[in-house]
Amino acid sequence: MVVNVKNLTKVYKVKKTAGFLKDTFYPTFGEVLAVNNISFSIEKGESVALLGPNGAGKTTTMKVLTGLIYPTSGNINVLDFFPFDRKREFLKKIGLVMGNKTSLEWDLTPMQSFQLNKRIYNISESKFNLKIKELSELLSVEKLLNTQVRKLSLGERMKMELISSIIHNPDVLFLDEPTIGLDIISKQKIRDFLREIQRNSEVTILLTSHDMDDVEKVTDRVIVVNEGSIIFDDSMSKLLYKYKNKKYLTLIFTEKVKSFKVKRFGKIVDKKPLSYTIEIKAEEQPKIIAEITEKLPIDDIDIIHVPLEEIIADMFNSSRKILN
Amino acid sequence: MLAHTYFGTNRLKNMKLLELKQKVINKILLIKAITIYTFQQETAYWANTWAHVLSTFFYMLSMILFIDVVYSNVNLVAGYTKNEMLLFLLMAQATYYLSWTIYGNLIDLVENVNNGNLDLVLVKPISSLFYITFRRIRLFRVAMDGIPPLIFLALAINWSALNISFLPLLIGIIISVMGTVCSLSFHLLATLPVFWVGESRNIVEFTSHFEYNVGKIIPLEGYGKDFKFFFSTIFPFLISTGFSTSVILGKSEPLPTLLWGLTVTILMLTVRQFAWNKALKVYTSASS
Repeated sequence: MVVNVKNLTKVYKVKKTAGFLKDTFYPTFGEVLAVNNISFSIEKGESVALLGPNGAGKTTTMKVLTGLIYPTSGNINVLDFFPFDRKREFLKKIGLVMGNKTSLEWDLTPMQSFQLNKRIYNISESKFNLKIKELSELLSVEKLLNTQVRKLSLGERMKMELISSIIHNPDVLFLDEPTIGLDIISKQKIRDFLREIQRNSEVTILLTSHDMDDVEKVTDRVIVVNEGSIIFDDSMSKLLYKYKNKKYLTLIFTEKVKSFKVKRFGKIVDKKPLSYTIEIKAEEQPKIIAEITEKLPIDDIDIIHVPLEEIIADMFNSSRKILN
Repeated sequence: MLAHTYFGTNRLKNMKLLELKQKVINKILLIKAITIYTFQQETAYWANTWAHVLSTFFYMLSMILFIDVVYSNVNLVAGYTKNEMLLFLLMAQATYYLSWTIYGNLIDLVENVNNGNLDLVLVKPISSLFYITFRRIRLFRVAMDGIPPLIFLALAINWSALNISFLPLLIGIIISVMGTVCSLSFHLLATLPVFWVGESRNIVEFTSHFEYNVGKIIPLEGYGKDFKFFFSTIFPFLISTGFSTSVILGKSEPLPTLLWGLTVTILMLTVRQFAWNKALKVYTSASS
């Protein structure tokens, strides 16, 4: 077991605003429950996504697991260490990438920052050179290693951040929104890269992302957190299986079509000037497509599974109803 | 059997010594790497560097003029002749530049706590307190800014009129380094409220000005007994320049002063480590 979390709870103290004088002389604090008694474990080599809406507690969980913040209660074990002790042996075995924070020095080249990391992680010259070559080739950034960081695009910088965080061959890689703000090609490259290192080096990955493509392409297991509690923890295929009887059809028309004509075939989930996306039952797919082709000015039909975003959103709504 | 145990214990001792040696070597190599890294940053933009060199040079010139004007009417200030006062100023400036090699890291710490970039520092496999203290060692910048005015000041002193012997000089220099450690530890303590209240830049600025006014303008002999005690214990700002210059000039006993400085330094370092551990425990990390 690489990660073992039992009954993790994290409560933040938050200052209450009560006017200038009171705030200065008698500040009062309230409590915010960020993580509520959650338990899960992760095996070596697993790639797991931690999902949830903003404020669900996923980043807090990740920060507790990396030893950045102290848990209010619970037993937390990562690679046989209590993360907050921040033992060197533990920190040498983990890597952390945060999509909106940078560890690279703005005015220097990525290579200069990597050189400092080489010394911090005590990596030999030959291993360092080999690793830089391997990773930069995988991410196609070998020609940018000696370019000032400020001159790199966001995507290029994120690729360099990734190199920086795994240069020491970590056993566990924590990724917090690693593709945030990137273009589609950079996103794809980073996803492929993460999959490749996870499969080849057996790195355990724990990822948080709002981009469901990251989740689908990089991870095998999904833990869904909402309002500090886990509401789903299973494989990606099981998550998708629950929604396998639903399909989405994107209908592209040759001319504008009134929505009531489309509504007859299924629930409209998206609408654009010349296209509609409708939700249908999977078993009715052939019949509905035949009817639409016959009755509407159709140009093209795209059949897709229910997007992961919809599944997760549906799950949040269900859990909220149960809580209420 | 006994011999076996004896050799076993000896081997263990040797291993521990080797381990300690390796740790020290690693730290030195890391400091070297950090210094090179900072040098690369400092030299990324040359024009800005030269502007600062000029500003520090003119500041020093104005200070020498000020001392010249003061001593045109009196022979002694706080028991110091003009030459002794220039030496005091030299020590004050030298310790000031020494602390400036790493002082900027304190302000960086405040920013890093606020923007959450401290996260990326805390996951490095080295002592976090060591790393935040030495993250940037601005040797080049400080040398560029500091060496020209210090040479200028040293040339303004009539050295033959000063009675300086080797041992007090050596002890004085050691005290000034310890005093700088004390002051920096104090400033770090002033930085730590950022973990609780979210900001502390003004507190650090205040303690820096306080240190400058207390420790770098008035010599030790200018203070009364109570102030001497107060500013060398709770606010340890007299050690780096006041204590050291007094010892170098033979106005204070070297060994008791050294012992005093050493005790306060150890205390400050202990308090600093304790407070740092407490601060990390309440660190909430800025949200992403």
